[in-house]
Amino acid sequence: MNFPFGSPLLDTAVRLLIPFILLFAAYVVAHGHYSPGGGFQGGVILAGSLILLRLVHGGDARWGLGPAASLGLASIGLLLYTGIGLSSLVFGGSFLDYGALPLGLAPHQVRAAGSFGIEVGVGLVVTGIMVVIFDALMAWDPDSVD
Amino acid sequence: MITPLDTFFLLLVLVSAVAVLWVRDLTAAIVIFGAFSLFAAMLFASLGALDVAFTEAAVGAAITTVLFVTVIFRTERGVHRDLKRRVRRRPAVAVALVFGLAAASLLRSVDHLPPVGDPTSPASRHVSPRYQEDGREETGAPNLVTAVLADYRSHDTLGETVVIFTAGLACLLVLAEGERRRREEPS
Repeated sequence: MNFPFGSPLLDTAVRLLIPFILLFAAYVVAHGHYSPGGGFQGGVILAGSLILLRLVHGGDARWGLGPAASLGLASIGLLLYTGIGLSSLVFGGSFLDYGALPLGLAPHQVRAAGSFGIEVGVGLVVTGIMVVIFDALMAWDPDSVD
Repeated sequence: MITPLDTFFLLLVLVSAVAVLWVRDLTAAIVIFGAFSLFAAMLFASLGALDVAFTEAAVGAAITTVLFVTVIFRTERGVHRDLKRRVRRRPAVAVALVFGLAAASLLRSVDHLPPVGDPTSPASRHVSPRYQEDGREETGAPNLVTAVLADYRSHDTLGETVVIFTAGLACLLVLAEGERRRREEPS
């Protein structure tokens, strides 16, 4: 997966950009309640920063997020989503009825917290899966086609 | 209401869509496809659908372009030899006629659609008033798009998330299959 793509120029640009992209991704996920955005868009931006890093630095710049780990990240996101749904089932509501969660807040705040939880879940799934697809494409050997 | 700006972006979308089909070089087609997504995002934004525009810009213009370029990088640039053969005329004319007629009949019905943002249109009368009037108190989300996606319609969003997850697994399985075959049959 190593390919000669990096250069001092690209390296500097990426070093400058990555922190802002990460911050923006977190903002988009967290602020989805108040402004356009949410888990899906934030997840795509986060995945974009990870892919940008791989494009410039090659396979070494994985930040510990190899193919298995990114698939694990996506699974955690899906488990978080369904987990919130099932736990509201446990506390007497119907599936994904966050109002039933015993958080000790006002009803609309409980619902907002539940929605934020599933937004984070969606974000993790999207981030993980985008990175998985990119890594699978890069690891794929064109000569294996008949 | 359709403003001149919307029409301008719609024209850009149409021109870039035709250009994607026109160019022969695949890398150029992918770059124009990214531009198509960007113009579509601008069109959505100028129509007031900011969440959709955001998604289109992030997914269509950014990630999809990167993934397509990666595929080109791993395979080959340009059109395959078999595709370069001359397209047969008669079927092409028949297909163009059928789709032209379909498009014409669809365009004829545009006049009968309610105007954008009409509060008496069927789309604004069923569940929309409830979402708009009570959404903020019920879900605690000032952004009503989030209120619908993450609360009222969270089952749909769960389905979409599972679709993305499954798509990733499918990519992994398909691409790993070739890898496994190569390892089993060393040539």
